[in-house]
Amino acid sequence: MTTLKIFGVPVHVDHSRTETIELDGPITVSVAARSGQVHLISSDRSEATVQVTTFGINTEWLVEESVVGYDAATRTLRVATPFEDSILNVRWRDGVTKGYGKRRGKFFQAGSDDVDFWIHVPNGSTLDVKSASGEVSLNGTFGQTRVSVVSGDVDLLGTYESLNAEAVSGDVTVGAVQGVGKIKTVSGDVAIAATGTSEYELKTISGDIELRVQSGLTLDVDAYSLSGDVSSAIPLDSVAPNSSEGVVAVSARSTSGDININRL
Amino acid sequence: MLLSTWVDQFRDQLRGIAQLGDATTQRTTEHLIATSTPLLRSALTEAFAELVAECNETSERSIHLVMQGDNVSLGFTEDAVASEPSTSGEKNARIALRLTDELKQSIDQAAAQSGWSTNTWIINTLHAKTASRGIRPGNRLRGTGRA
Repeated sequence: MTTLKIFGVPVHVDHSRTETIELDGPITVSVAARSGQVHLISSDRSEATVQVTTFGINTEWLVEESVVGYDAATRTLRVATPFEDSILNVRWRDGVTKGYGKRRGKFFQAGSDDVDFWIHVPNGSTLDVKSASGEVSLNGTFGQTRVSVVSGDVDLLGTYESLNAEAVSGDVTVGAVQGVGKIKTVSGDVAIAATGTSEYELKTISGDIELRVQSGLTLDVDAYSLSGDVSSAIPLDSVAPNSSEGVVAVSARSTSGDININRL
Repeated sequence: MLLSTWVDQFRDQLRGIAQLGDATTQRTTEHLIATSTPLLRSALTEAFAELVAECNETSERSIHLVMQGDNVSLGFTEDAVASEPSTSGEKNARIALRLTDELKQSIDQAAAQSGWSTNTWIINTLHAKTASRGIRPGNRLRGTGRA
């Protein structure tokens, strides 16, 4: 626990709460975050843990009011930040944002409104993650996965049965996908490191697309940019689209972003 | 055409609908408008790009989308190619072409009307047909390769 002294008075500035749910297999995880980071990690385990943290003075109510609930009937874990209207922000002359937690009756609050989630789930869990402005990072082995962010970056590592990621201005970085990965951004860049058999459908408006393919894999690509440049360091000739080491099939479309293909 | 014209119209219509609700509805609508505006611009641009691609699949003339900031317009790729001096470079290849007298006359007339010789007119026409059909070269890569 981090403690600061303000006018000689010790004040706790980081707050956290951890929930543990016993499980007997993969579940569905639904996350709705306003701001703050979402870290979702899977492993061979028989429970889910959710750690909710904030950093700031009098921000513990954000931890307490964040939703962490498990519905055994639908095997769904729901995690969400409190509604935006529960806090009124005031920007003072010195640029520091302070506010009043309406529900909790706090008269003074300082620091970030961000609520961070660290979520550990069993391998094979299905994900639906939404975030307005926070960073989303996933790492592990997951089932069908959907990620939707407005301005935060998305960092995806591990293996996914299928992946559907959308970002408005955030960048999307992908480590590995099994099955089909569909990624769409408006101005965010997309970076893919393909390390095994996979299929990607990539679309951006102004974001650049960078595709790196591991040595030995066969690349089957159709890349088109309306006004951006398209280039490939991997010679695209008449190699048959099959390989004992795997095939990476990519359809990439951009309106004005560049598309670059390289070896990993 | 300015994209903002259509985006602003959409925003005004949404605000008009929100007027029917209470203050919370209106506030929520403003949040939605702020979030959805880039998505709407993206959807419009994508729709234009798809229309252009469909046109190029079927049309004799190839077009492309020109985006300059908020301004979106169409350009004819064939016009640009036809006006370029496509007769540059050495011309060593020959094609023995058998055609009817009527077609030969039509070609001669078309060449005379354009101010080019018959040979230059045929080269320029073939160049336009082969170089500008479909998506502009340089912006598309298709194929397979070993990494």
